[in-house]
Amino acid sequence: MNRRKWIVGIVSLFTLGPLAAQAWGAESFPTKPFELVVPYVAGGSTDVMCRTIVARATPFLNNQPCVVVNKVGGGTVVGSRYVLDGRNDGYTLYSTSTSSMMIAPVVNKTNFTWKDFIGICQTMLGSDALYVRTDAPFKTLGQFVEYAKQNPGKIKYSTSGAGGSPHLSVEGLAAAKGISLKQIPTKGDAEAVTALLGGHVLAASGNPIAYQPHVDAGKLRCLAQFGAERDKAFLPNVATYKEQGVDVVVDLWRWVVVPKGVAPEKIKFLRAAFLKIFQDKETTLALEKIQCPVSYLPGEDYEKIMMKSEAAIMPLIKAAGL
Amino acid sequence: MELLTNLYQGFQICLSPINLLYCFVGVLLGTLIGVLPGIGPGAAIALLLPTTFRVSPVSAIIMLAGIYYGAMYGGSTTSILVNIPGEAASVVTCIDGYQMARQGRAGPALGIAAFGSFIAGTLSVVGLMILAVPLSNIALQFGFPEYFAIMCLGLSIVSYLGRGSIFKSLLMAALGVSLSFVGMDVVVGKPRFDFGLLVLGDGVGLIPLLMGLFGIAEVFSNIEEKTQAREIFQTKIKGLLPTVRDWKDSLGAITRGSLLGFFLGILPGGGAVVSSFVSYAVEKKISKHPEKFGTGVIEGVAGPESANNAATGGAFIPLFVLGIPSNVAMALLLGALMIHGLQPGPLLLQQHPEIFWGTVASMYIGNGMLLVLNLPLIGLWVKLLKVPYKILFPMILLFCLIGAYSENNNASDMVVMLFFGFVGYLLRKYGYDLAPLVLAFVLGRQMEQAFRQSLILSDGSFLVFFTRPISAVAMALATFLLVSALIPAFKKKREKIEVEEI
Repeated sequence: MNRRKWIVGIVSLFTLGPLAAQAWGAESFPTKPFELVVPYVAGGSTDVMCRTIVARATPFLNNQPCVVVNKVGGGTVVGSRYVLDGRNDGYTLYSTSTSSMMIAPVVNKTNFTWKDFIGICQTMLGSDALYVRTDAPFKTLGQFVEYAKQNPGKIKYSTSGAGGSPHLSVEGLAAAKGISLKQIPTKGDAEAVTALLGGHVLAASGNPIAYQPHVDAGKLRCLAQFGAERDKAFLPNVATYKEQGVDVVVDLWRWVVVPKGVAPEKIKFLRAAFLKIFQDKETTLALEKIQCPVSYLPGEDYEKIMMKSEAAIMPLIKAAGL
Repeated sequence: MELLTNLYQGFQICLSPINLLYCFVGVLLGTLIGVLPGIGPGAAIALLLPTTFRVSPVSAIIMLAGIYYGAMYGGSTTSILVNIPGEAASVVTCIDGYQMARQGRAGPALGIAAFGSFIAGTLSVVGLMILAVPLSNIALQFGFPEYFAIMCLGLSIVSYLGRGSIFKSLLMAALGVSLSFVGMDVVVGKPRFDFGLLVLGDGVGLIPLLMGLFGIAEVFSNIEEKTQAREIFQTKIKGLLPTVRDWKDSLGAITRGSLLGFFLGILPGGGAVVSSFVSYAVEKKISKHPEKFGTGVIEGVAGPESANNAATGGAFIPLFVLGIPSNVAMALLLGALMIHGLQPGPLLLQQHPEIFWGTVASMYIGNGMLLVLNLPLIGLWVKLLKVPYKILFPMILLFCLIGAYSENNNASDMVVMLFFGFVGYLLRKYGYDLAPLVLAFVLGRQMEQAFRQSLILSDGSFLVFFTRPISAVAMALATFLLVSALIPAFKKKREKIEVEEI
């Protein structure tokens, strides 16, 4: 009798114990540190942004720290797969972008899309831009297009890589204006800007972080930016494609997301926490310091923004033949 | 005069106690990272980047730069002692450095590597100080065809690397180039030759490849030759420091290595790696006893080790003058500048001269610190050779696994490493040298890319490689090197056949 009681006791401890803990845990989420997955190497612009965000996030996450984890490879696909691999307890967050959610799934023919994630908040909204040398035979986008029409195939432009948003944005221009521009892809903005500075190509398309210093030094000129609205941090005085009559929009956004399957109350907690993080003056100041075009949007806007982005980019991917 | 006042200001910044401390921490960490195989300066700088958020920008850059050139200092240690390069730039040091260690001359090898690094490091800081601005403009003259030609020149050096048959070296180079094709096709933007494996989507990683071919394969082949391996430990250790004779032999190599390293370091992508290989080839070419290379000659250690350290100085030029990073570690330093609200670019030097001059001054001091730090360590390292293999090998395996994993936090990279460990073991067993493979792997991808970029630029005309002066000269030189190395090999073979026929 005594022995049976023991067994019942032990069995119930093992079966009910975790259940009880789970029920209790649901009320007090979070109880352990978060990880924010970055699909790029440490030190890149996404990584630096994420590290800046988590640096002061702890007080807003019930005093649980959030750690940046770099899962690199397969052109961001390794990171996405890692997050989607059953990590839906709410403790794994993921920093996505136009290239990891819109372009990489198409190029790599993956079995996931942005629809497999739930938005927590938008963190950044920026734009790539088109650059030429100040001594080039064209000073405006109009003259650039005119030159390309008169000298078909002569304009070669460097980018940070084939299939990236700078490539798609320029191919969009070429398709809209019926001109032929030849891309010379390189391994990154650093190499692309070097080719333009050395006069080896007539134009280059890429992220303002790499190019703007040379504009300030009087060597380069920016002809257009590709986003729907002007990037206030970097290019307040440069007209967008749309403003110049080119119907192409490529927004560079970054979102913090969680995989599908995370409990609704945890999502509610995270969305509220990230709102507070972005209301924190010190964090936004630090983000401005690293030249990140901060742009908070609540998680509820996720689907709307993604559908808009998808509608704008998919035709460009097709036009570029990827 | 302006130079001296600037330098004086630089030293004033750098000699403040706090900056001295950061400099010391940087070079100390760099040495440790260099010694640990697989953990490169890039990973270390990335990890430590957040710790510099709250210090002044000069201190941050001083420390992170210290990690970078400190790692180059430490990289030779494991090459010499256990035939495992700490990073890619030390691969070529294995060839003669390890042989020296087997003859009980690990001390002089480590010593000349430390002194050579010190001299080269200091010379390249002088170069950085005086030549930064004019040279950065020359670097811009290098377009896609010039890069292709330089890569061809680099690849033609394989004919000087092999210890055995030149055909085996060329075969290994072909294998290296083929491996470099795996992964993302830069021009098309799609993955290729990856067998649908995600881990190969970005190509075969350099760290897993190196750790596998050298580290794991070394362990495998030593387990097999257990009895022979024992003999190494019993060899008496002859002296800890280079002798006068050693100095005489290596002084020329150090000077040439420094110059080569500095100028190749300015060019983006693998400057340190390529310059170490080029330096080895140059020493072998001009040596009076080229046949002894590969058996433990000190020039074969002094030249490449000086070259890879001098390259670090050269690599700072495009970063500070143009804001263009020439390798991963420099890209991280650029990130560090931005975190501190400094805009890297052509205006940095005018707007924040204290960053440049403070760093330059700290590099003089850091190089001195490294020498003081490393010389006493030689005694300790040499004792490491007495650690029994049953303890040393599991440690090597462990560090290789950590190194392969930590680069991308990706467990599949360890599988890739083990695969290449097995490949490396077989290649060694059948007498194939691995150095040509590594050189070709490092150059292959950049070469292919530059080739295709050039052809887009020229609308498909191959003349572009021969009509531009820099690339024409480099192509001619490459052809000459390859032919001059091949002719004797052909002749020998023909003679042999003739003899057999008689």
